[in-house]
Amino acid sequence: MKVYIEKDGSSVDVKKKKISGKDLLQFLKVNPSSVILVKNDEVVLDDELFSEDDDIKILSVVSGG
Amino acid sequence: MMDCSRCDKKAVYAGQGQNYCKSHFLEYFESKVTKTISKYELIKTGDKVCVATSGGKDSLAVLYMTSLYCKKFDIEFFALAIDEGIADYRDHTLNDLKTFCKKYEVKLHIVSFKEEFGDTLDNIKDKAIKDFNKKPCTVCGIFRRTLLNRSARKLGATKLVTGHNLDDEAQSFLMNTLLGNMSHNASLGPITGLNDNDKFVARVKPLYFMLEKETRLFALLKCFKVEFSECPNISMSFRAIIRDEINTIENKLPGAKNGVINSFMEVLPLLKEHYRGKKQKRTFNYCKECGDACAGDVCNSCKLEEELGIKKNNMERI
Repeated sequence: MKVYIEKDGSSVDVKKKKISGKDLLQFLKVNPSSVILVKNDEVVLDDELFSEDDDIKILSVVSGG
Repeated sequence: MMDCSRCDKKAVYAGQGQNYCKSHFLEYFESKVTKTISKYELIKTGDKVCVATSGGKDSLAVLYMTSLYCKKFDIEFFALAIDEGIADYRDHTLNDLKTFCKKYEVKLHIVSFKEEFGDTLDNIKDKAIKDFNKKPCTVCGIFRRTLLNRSARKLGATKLVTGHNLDDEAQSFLMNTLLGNMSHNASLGPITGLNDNDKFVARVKPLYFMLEKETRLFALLKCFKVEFSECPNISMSFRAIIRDEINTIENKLPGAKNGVINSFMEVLPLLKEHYRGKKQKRTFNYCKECGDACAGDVCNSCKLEEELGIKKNNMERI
C-alpha cells in the first residue's frame, strides 16, 4: 500500500495487505502524537484498519518555526 | 473503531478520556477557546483587536475564532501579518492568508522586515550566523516581536492576539527551565504585557489550552487551506529539540503536555509575584533610537540592527 507522508512530501510503499494505523505508524517510526491519519480523505484514529487499496496520508501537526 | 462519546458516529479525535466525531470535535474546540477568552478576559467590549497571523494552521484557527467572538460581541478586529522574507516558506503561507481573509472578509495589514529593517531575514541570517554566532530564530524572534507590537500600536490596537497553543507554551516553559531562566516564565501565560505603559499592546493567546494536534485537526476539518510548511530555519533551533522530546514523552504518557501547562498555571501567579512584585509597577526606559519602551537605553531590536549593520529606514516609529 502507498502511504503519503506530508512532512517530507514522500510516498512510501508498505508491503502489507492489511495493517492497523497504530502498527503502520510504528512500522514507519512515526510518533502518533505529532500526526493525523487520513484514509480516503476521511480523518481516522489509529485503531483504523488499512487495506492495500486505501489512499493513506500521514499529516504532520507541526508547522511554523 | 471508536465511536464518539456523545453520539454514535465514528470518532475522529481521541483525547483526555473523550472521543469526538467531526461535529462534536468542532463544538468542543470552539467551546473551549471561547471559554478561555471569557475566563481570562482576553478580549473585552471596547477593545480594538489585532490578530497576529502568518497563514499557518494556528494563526488561521485563532483568526477564525477571534472573528467569531468579535462579531458576536460587536468588537472591532483586523489581521496583521509579518513578511520576514523567508523564500519558499512565508510567501506560501501569506498566499493562504490572503485567500482566507478574502473569504471571511477580514481586513489584513502586511508589514515586512525589508521595509522596516532594510533587509530580508534570508539576507540577514548568513551574516548573523557567520559574524555574530546568532541563530536565525534569535534574529527573527527579536524583530518579529518588535514589529508586531509597533505595528499593532500604530494601528490603534488594545489587544494583540497570537496563535500560541499549548504545545508552544509547554515548550517555552521547559526551555526557560532547562536554561535556568525561570524569570522568563513569569512572562508566559494566556495574557501578557498588561501594564500601564502605552508603548506595549497586551498579548493574548486564545489557543492557550489547545494542543497543536487539536488546532491542526480543527483547521483540517474546517477546510482551511493550509499547506504543510515548516520554517527552513527550525532545524537549527533549541525549540525543535524540545518539541520532539515532549512529543516522545506525550506518546508514552498521554496527557503529559496538559500536565505541564496545568502545573505551570498553578505556579504562574507565584512567579509573577516573585519576579515583578504583586502591586509594584514596573518602570521603563525609552529606547533612544526608536522610542519604544525597554529595560536599558537601547531596545534589543535597535541593538541588533546596529550589530548587524543593517539599514534603518526613516519611518516614524514612536
